Amino acid sequence: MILLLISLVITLCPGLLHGASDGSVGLLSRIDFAPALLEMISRELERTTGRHFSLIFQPVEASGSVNFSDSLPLMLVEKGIPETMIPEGLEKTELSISLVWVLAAGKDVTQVLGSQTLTLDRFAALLAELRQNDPQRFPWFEPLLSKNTMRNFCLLYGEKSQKASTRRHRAAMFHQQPHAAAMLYRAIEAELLNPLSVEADLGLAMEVFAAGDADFVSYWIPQSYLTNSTLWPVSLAGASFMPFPLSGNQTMLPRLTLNLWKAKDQKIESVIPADDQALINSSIIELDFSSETAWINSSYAVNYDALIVGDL
Amino acid sequence: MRNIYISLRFKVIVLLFILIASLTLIINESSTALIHEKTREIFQQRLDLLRESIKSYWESEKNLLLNNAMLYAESEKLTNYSSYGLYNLLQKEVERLISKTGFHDLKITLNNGMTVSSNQSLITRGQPLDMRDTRQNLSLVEVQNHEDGLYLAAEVPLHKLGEFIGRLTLRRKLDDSRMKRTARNLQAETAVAVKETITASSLAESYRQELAKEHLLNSVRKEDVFNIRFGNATWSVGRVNIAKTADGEQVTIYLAISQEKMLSLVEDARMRNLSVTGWVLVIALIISVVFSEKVLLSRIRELRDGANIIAGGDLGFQITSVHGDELGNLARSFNRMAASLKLNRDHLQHYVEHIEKLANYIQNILGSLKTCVITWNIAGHIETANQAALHEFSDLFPTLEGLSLKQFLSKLPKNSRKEIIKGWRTVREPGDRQFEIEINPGSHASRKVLQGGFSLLLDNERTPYGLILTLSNITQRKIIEQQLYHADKLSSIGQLAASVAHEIKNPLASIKTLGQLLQEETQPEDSRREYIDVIVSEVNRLNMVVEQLLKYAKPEDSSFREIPFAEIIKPVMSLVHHESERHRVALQADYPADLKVFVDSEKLKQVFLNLIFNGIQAMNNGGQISIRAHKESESPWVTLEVQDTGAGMSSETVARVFEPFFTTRQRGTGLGLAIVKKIIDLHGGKIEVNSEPGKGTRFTIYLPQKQEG
Repeated sequence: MILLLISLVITLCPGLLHGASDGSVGLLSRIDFAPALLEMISRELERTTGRHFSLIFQPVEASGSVNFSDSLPLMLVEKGIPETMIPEGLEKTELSISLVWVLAAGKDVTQVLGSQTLTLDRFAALLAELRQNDPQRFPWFEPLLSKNTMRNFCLLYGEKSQKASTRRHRAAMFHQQPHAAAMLYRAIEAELLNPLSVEADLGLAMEVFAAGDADFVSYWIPQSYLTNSTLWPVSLAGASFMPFPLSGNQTMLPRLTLNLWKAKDQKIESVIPADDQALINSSIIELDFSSETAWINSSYAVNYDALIVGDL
Repeated sequence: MRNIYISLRFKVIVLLFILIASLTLIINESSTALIHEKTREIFQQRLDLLRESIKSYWESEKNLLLNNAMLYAESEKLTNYSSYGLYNLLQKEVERLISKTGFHDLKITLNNGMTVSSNQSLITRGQPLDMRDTRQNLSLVEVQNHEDGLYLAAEVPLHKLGEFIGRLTLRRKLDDSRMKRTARNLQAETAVAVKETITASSLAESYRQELAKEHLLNSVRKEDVFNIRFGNATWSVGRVNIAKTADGEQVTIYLAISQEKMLSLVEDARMRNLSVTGWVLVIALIISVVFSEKVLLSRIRELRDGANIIAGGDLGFQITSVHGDELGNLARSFNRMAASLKLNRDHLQHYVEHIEKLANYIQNILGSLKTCVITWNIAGHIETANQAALHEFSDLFPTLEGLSLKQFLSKLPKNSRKEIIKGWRTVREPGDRQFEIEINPGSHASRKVLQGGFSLLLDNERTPYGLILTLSNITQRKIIEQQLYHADKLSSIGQLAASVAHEIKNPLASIKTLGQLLQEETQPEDSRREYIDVIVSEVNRLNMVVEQLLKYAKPEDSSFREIPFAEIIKPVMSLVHHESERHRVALQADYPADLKVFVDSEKLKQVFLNLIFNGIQAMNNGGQISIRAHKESESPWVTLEVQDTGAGMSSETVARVFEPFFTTRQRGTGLGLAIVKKIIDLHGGKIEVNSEPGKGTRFTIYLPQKQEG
C-alpha cells in the first residue's frame, strides 16, 4: 500500500558490484515490487541487453495515474498499460522481460520433493506433514496483503462470487475449497498457512522465505529462472520454483510481461536468444494490466474481506 | 654614629606598605585556611552526595533497563514473529534491535519453550512455560552474578493482543566500560564488587587491585568511607551496598575521588589568594605612593619649594593650601616667617639703597675728580684707584688695583720713585708734604708731571688702616711755566744782543761803505782789489750775522692760530724744491690730511726751512729728507719729525747743536738751529735730536695743542 501511496523511487545499485551504470531505466507497473524482486529484474535486464542499468520504479497509482519524477530514455512498461500513461517520445522495442508467479519451496522441502512434480494433493499432504513435524512453525506463508497475490490466487483457484454466497466446505481440506479465499482461509485454519499472511506484503513474504521460517511461499521470478537455475541469486540457493499445482494435476503459470520502451535516439538490442517457451509445461496466463486493474478495483475487497472475516 | 639619610617619602611608603601588607597577609592566611577547611567539608559533602547519588543512579539504571525492555516487548514485529512461529526472523529482529544499544543481550522465551536470544545463533527449544505461575505476568529487575561478570537484567512479559505469549529479558552487563560511563556521569571513579571480588571498575588495573585488597579488609571493618593510596595520591572512597543478586549476594559499589583534585583546588585557591595578595600589595604600594604624594609629600614639597622661592629672593611668597593639621601649622609658621623676612628685607633694602647712594656719591666724587686718588692698604697694596688715576697711569698699568708699592714704583723714573718713597715714609709726620713726580712711559708726548702727596686713611677710631695718594696733573702748568721762563730769558738775551748789534752795526756800515768806495776806486786788476773784496765780503757776512742775531734776539710778536699743517709744509716744500734737487736730495712729507696745529705759522715755516736746509747741507752726496707729522688721540702734543740720511753727528755735537753761533760749517752763522729752538720754545714745545755719525739725524718737535677753553 505504501508503494501505491507514495512515489517511491528505488534505485538499485548493482553497479557497485558489476561496474559503472549505463544509465537508468524506469519501471512502470502495478506490481508492488520488493527489493529482492527488483534486483532480479535488474539482473535479468543486464543479462538481456548486456548493459547495466539502474532501475527506477514508477508505481502506478490505484487511480491509474503516474507521476513521473524524471524523464527517462529507457523504460520497462508492464504489458497492457495504456500508451497514454507512457511518457511521450518513447517507442516500444522488441525487448521484454517476463515475470512468472510461482510457488517457491525451501531447501529442506526441495530435498524432500526431489524431482517429482508437485500436485495439489501432494502439496496439501506435504504441508500437513511439515506441520506435524514441527508444530511450532507454519510451513506456508503468503503475502496476502498484496492485491496482485490475491488476484493470482483467484485466477488459479477461483474467486468468491459477489452475488451468490459460496457454500463453505468445513470438512474438506483447504485444497478442496471452491475458491481461493476459502482455500486460504481453510489453510490458515488448519495451521498450514501462517496467519500473519493476511497482514504480509510481498517484501515480508520474501524475508520470511529467505529466513527459512516458511517452506512454501509464492514468488515472482524472471521466467528464465524456471529453466536456468544458474541465474538464481545466492539467497535462493537450494530452493526450487514450481508452478502452483491445481486440481487435476494441472499447473498454471501467471506471467507478467515488462516491455522495454526507449527514446528514439537510444540504441538497445538483445544479446541473448529468446527464451525457449517449449521448456515450460504449464499453461501460461498472460496477465494484462487493464483486466487485472479492473479486477482489483472490483473484486479484491470482496475476496480479501471474505478471507479476513471468514465470509466464505 | 653617622645619621643615614632616609627620605620621609620612603618611610611613609614603607610604613603604609608594611601595614597593608600585614593586614593582607593575615587576611590571606585566614582565607586560605578557611578555603581549605571549607573545601574539605565540601569534598566530604560531595562524597556523601555521591553515595546518595549512586543509589538514585542505580535506580535510574534499573528503570532505564526496564523501560527499554517494555518498549521492546511492545514491538509489533517481535510479537508477530513470536506468535506466528517466525523464529528465524525473530532471531534477526532481536539481533537488530540489540545492536549498538549498549545492552548485553535480548532474549525472548515463548510459552512453548522456544528461546530466541541475540547472543545465541541457535534457537533453543526448552520446557514450555508454567502458565500457572502468576509471576509470569510480572516485570522485574535483578542483578545476576555469572562467572563472566555481573548483569543487570530486566524481565517483562510479552503479549500478543493481550494474550501472554512469553517473556522478554533485556540485560546489561556491569562491566568496566559501564563503570567508566558511570564514572563519567558521576565524576567519580566507580567499582562494583560481589563477595570478595571486584567484578568491574573504572579504575586502572593497579588501582583496582589496591581496591580489591581494601574490599577484602573492609568486609571486616565495614567502613562506609575510608582513604586509600592509589600510587602517590590519596583517594577518598565511599562504599554503598546497592543491591543483592538473585542469589542473595551483596552487591557493593565503591566510589572513589582523588584528593589530589581537592588539594589542587585548595592549592589553586591558595595561589589565587597569593595572586590577589600580590595585586593587593601592588595596589597598596601604589596607594602608599599616591597617599604619600597627595597627602604628605606634595605639601612638604610645597614648603620646600616655598623655601627655595624665598631663598631665591621672593619673600612675598605665601603657601595657599593651609590645612588644619600639623603640616597646616607648619605652613602657617612658614608664612609668618616669610612675612617677617620680607619686612626685614625691606628695611635692609632701604639701608642698602641709602648706602649704595652714598657709595655712588663718593664714587662719583672720586670719579669726577681730576686729581688722582689712590688708596693703599697697610700691607702696601693698592686697594682702590679713581678714574683720574687710572687715566693718568693708563700708559704704565692696565689696572692699578692690587699692585704692590714695588710694582707701582718699578715703572716710574728714578726721581719720581724717590719722591714717592720719601712721601710714604714721612706721611705720619706733621705737615702737608707735597712732591712732584714725572711719568714718561715713552716719548715726550706722553710725559706727564703729577703733583701730590700721601695722607693717612683713618677709620672711625682714627686708627690708620691705609694711605691715600692724591696726585694732580700739572703738566700743562709746567709747560706754561717753562714757556714763561724761556720768554723771560730770551727777552734778556734779546735786549743784550740788540744793544751789541746796534753798536756793531754802525761801525760795520762805515766799514762796508768805505770798502765799497775802495772797490770802486780800485781796478779789478789791482792787487789790492782782492783784499778789498774780502773786506767787503766779510763785512757783509758779519752784517748778516748781526741781522740774524737781531732777529734771534728781537722780541717778536707772535700770532698763534689753528691752521692745517698742510698750509705750512706745502709752501716750505715749494721753497726748498730747487735747492734740494740741486743737492740731489729727495723730499718726502707724510702727515694726516686733517692734521691741524696751533702755531705761529710763519715762525713754524722758518723752523722747517732751517731744519731742511740743515739736512740738505749735511748730505753732500744726495739723500732723502722725510718730514712726518702726527698726533696721538689722547696726547696733548703734536709730534713733528724731520729726518735726513746725512752724515749724522757725534754726541758732542748733538749736545751743543742748539747753542747760538755753534756751527760745524766754515761759513755758517750757528744761529739756524738756535732760532729753531727759540721758536719751539716760544710755542711751549720741545725739540729733541737723535743722531749718530753715518746714520743721519732726526729732529723731533713736540708742540702743545690748542687748550680748549
